[in-house]
Amino acid sequence: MMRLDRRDFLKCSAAGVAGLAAVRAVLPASVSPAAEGRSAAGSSQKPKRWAMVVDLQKCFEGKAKACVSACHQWHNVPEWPEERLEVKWIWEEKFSRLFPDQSFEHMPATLRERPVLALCNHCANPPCVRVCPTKATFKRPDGIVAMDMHRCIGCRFCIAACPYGARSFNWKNPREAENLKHQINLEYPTRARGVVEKCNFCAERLAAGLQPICVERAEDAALIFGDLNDPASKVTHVLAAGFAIRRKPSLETDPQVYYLISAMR
Amino acid sequence: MRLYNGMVIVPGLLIFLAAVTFPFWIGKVRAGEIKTFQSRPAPAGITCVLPKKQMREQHMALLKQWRDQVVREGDHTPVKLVNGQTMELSLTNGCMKCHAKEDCGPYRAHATYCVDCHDYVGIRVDCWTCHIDPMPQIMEKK
Ligand code: HEC
Ligand code: HEC
Ligand code: HEC
Repeated sequence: MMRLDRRDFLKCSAAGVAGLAAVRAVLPASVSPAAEGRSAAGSSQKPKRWAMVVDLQKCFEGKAKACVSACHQWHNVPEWPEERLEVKWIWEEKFSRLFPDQSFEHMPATLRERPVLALCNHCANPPCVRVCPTKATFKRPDGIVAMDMHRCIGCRFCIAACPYGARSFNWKNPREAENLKHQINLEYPTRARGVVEKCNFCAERLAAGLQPICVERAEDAALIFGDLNDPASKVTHVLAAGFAIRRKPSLETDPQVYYLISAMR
Repeated sequence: MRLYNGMVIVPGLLIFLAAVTFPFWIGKVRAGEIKTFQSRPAPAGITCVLPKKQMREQHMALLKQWRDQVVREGDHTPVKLVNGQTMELSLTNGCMKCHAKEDCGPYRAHATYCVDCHDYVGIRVDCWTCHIDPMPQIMEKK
């Protein structure tokens, strides 16, 4: 029998890998012609840059109250009684916890304690995407930080990486939650035990030409959604004519959810 | 010629042979338990995405291609069916919406149709932990 010592084995392996790489370099066009045609067709348009503006004043007036349950119903998000199992796409949190850098002792306690809407910031520089080992979470050309549930292995690195607490893990089978036992939206899949989930800026609704469900359900345009690459869009206008802040900007994740403090006149 | 230790070797060989040929005879032994899947007559006036033979051979590849197209590339362009109608690229709202219709005849229902064949070929499809089978809800509404 031929005997390989360690060095020979490594050499053979290297040659094998190089050979495979060479074959793949020659072949890709024949492997998936359809995929190539699609990406070529898609690149002719200018990419969008989706963003959301949360009007804080209107939020405080309770005009965005319906958003949370509307979103969670639409996306079949399970409701668990235990807090440690909680799954959330959009939720309310005290101002001082969402904006620790902007909170201080002598600010009105009513402001510090006020609940504000929070959701995935769809960062332009998303740390969750950087740490995902399977590329299950990825940034789309239009700025949406998307999840591919089919690839998620539930390692939860993204949960650790996200500075905004926007990601939840499914500790239990979501179909067993009371709310999903009684009412399920056929338009959107559920998730399974062992995957991470979060807000997707309603990518599936945008594809159908609709606004995100939270934006649609908020009263009096308390939430505004649009394309920041379009100078005529409402989000561009609102941001250009007012004063807005973002959560933890010093982390340089470049969040795309803006909180409007005041519309300057 | 003499066989030493025949008492050990002969039964050992028999056990070995039984184990190696296991896949060939287990089917016969358990014939009663194994479901069969019969080819079904085509319903009138309604067609699948591709002709039946191709559908049978390629539906898994097709679904995976659509999945990547929708989820990773964000491309929801509907597909054309054999008869020219269009269909949403979706497991629940494409395939199953039609395969749950009454005019799909013997091709109707996930549980009695898709699963019958998957049982027969011995595979478990895990898509349904997330993707919703609309059939139970349709039945409930009646
Ligand atoms: C962990 C949950 C999960 C599992 C398991 C899963 N999917 Fe999905 N799938 C999703 C989610 C979430 C979407 C995104 C739907 C959207 O954005 O409209 C999706 C989208 C899709 C789509 C495109 C849109 C649609 O609504 O159907 C296809 C096709 C698809 N999956 C096929 C499959 C197939 C085939 C399997 C099994 C091999 C599978 N999926 C298993 C969660 C899952
Ligand atoms: C508009 C209705 C419709 C849609 C949508 C549809 N089907 Fe079908 N499908 C049919 C009909 C009708 C047949 C029987 C076809 C025939 O006999 O020509 C069939 C046949 C099949 C077969 C072949 C079965 C066999 O016994 O050989 C498979 C597999 C299948 N469909 C899977 C799917 C999948 C997977 C999807 C989604 C990608 C899908 N179908 C979408 C109506 C539909
Ligand atoms: C005539 C038999 C047959 C019928 C009917 C059938 N399938 Fe399949 N299906 C198969 C076979 C065989 C495979 C396995 C292919 C493989 O393992 O490569 C498969 C695989 C799949 C897969 C991929 C699973 C995975 O994890 O990779 C999906 C999804 C699927 N079928 C969906 C459907 C749906 C939906 C229907 C009903 C509308 C259906 N099938 C009806 C034979 C069938």
